[in-house]
Amino acid sequence: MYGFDAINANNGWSIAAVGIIIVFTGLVMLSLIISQLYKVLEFIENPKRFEFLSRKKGVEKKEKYTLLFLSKNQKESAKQFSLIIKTMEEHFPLPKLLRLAEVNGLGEPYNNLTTLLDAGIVEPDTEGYFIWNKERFNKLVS
Amino acid sequence: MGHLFVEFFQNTGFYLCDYRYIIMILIGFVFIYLGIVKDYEPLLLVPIGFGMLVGNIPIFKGLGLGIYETNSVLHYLYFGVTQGIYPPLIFLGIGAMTDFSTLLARPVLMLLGAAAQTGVFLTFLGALALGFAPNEAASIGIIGGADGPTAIFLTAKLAPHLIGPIAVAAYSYMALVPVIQPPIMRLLTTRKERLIRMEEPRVVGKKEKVIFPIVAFLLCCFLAPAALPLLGMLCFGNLLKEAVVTERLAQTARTSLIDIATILLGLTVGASTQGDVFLTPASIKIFVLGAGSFGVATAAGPIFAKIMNLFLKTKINPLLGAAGVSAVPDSARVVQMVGQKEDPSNFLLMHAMAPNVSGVIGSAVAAGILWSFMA
Amino acid sequence: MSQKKELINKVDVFKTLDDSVKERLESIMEQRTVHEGEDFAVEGAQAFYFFILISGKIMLSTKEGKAVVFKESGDFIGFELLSSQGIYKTTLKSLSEGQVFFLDRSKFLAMIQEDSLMAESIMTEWESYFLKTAPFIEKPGSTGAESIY
Repeated sequence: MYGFDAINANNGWSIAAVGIIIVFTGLVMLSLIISQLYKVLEFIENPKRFEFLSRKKGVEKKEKYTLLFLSKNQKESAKQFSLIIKTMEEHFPLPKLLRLAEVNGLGEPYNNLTTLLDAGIVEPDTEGYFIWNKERFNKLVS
Repeated sequence: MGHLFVEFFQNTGFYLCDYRYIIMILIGFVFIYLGIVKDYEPLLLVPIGFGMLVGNIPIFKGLGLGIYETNSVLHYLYFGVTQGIYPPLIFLGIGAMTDFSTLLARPVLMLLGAAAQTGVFLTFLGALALGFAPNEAASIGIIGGADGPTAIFLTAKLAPHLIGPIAVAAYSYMALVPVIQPPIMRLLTTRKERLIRMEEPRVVGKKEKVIFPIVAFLLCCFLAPAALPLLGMLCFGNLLKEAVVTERLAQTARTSLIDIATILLGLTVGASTQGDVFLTPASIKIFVLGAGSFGVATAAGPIFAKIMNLFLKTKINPLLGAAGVSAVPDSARVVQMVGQKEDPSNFLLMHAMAPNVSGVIGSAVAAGILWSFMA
Repeated sequence: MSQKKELINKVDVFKTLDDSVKERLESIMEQRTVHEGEDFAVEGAQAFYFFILISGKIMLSTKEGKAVVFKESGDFIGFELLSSQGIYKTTLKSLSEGQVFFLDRSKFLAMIQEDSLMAESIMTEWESYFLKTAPFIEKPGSTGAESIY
């Protein structure tokens, strides 16, 4: 027996349809579970975060920075860096920022740049360049 | 004395040979050539190709030399194929060398691995239409999963007499991934789509990686218990890798163990292609269906990715869909290659590994389903 | 546990190695202090060392200005591992006073070439680490996983 007759006789359509559905069901369920897995783990590891989750967005970013407050001098330096940033493109090369800071005579450029990195005011993008996190700057400096 | 010479000559390969052995030996040469010179899946094509030479030395039946003679050494080694022993061992090794990070970082890409399995079931229908029995059709369909061990495992369970042609077809098409896939991918995608850049995946934690194989194993095997031998070993191997404390076991699984299983599997599958049993009309049909299956599986991914893009806020590059066939990591490399032809600074390899490894899971589940339907 | 051993165990690229290999690694590591603003590897120059960060902050940059900052103890900096020419492809500048282990490049390569399995393990881990750390600098040509299907 050949052709559609053979498929019909062997229940082929149903087997194929059910097979595809089961494969999709399995992988969709698995993808749903693993898409939530890291959130569950994060919650288990940091239960305190639960209270943050109910607050406004953006708060969850807080813990990834190692520096949460700036001293008066650090704030002043951040302001000076922000002036240089205004002359640069949105995604800027970090070595260029450092060089400009040196050329412009900013005090302790290395030390202050690492402060900005630790505070999350200067952040890497995904392409090897860096961005100025205005929201973070306003929060810590203003 | 002359009589002895004649008798000896009648036992030599030169006397016993017919055109079918010659054809298979030539195919063996092609496999070895592709493996060594073209670097297409050398770890498989070289053992299979040499196995074809071994299996197609014309021999005097009854001496216990041929793979189909019950008292031969090759027959004992072939036992691991016919009883489905080698494929799970290979899956153990694959699990121990696979990094599921990209899949964990973007689980939605798993659907592309599922979409590619459509080829399996459509080919199953095609094989039924060509007159194959349901168990044979299921074994032929799984070629579209582009997963050699899975194809061999399922065929050993459902249609052991077809192991040779199905294994050779599966591995041939997998070796030809860089040739077969690109035209299909280009045909189904626009330049604009091929230029889509993927977002950088998030960093995946160690605990997630450890939990994943356990969750994947439990879920998939509860759903399709027949996938247990393959998925169980795949997930176990991955757990050994991610647990770190079992690194020694993982190291063995992904090196010595998988190599031994691959050598034995490749050599005996190659040797099973004895000209007189291999060159049949059924084998030719299997090759045609296998090509169709592979083509459909490749096409299903990009098409499904385009459908997903209708609903997704952040679009995915449809080329990734082609990596849903589980030829790891070759189809992911092909995605990278085709993507970079349009934009050399677009790196898709890492992203393509997600549908690629989910294809492994998908094809194992599909095999389990087909097995349970046919058993 | 010595500081060297502790650091090696932290490095993704080396974590899968046998203890005996780790011990040999220790023998080719030399601890040095790097100073704020110091360029201790310069793009285009002959590469003599790979580096493991102990403390401080290191900026790795390319000529076009792309950069990544290493600040975690155990960060491995060896972007020349895949280069056969032995030329630094990036510049390393210390952003603060810190401590770095210098690994002798030629001894390291000779060591891993003795054992192809170890070399494969290191390269696989390295590619994975590479993609995570600085995918934009230069992409390795393969995934590191051998074709097994």
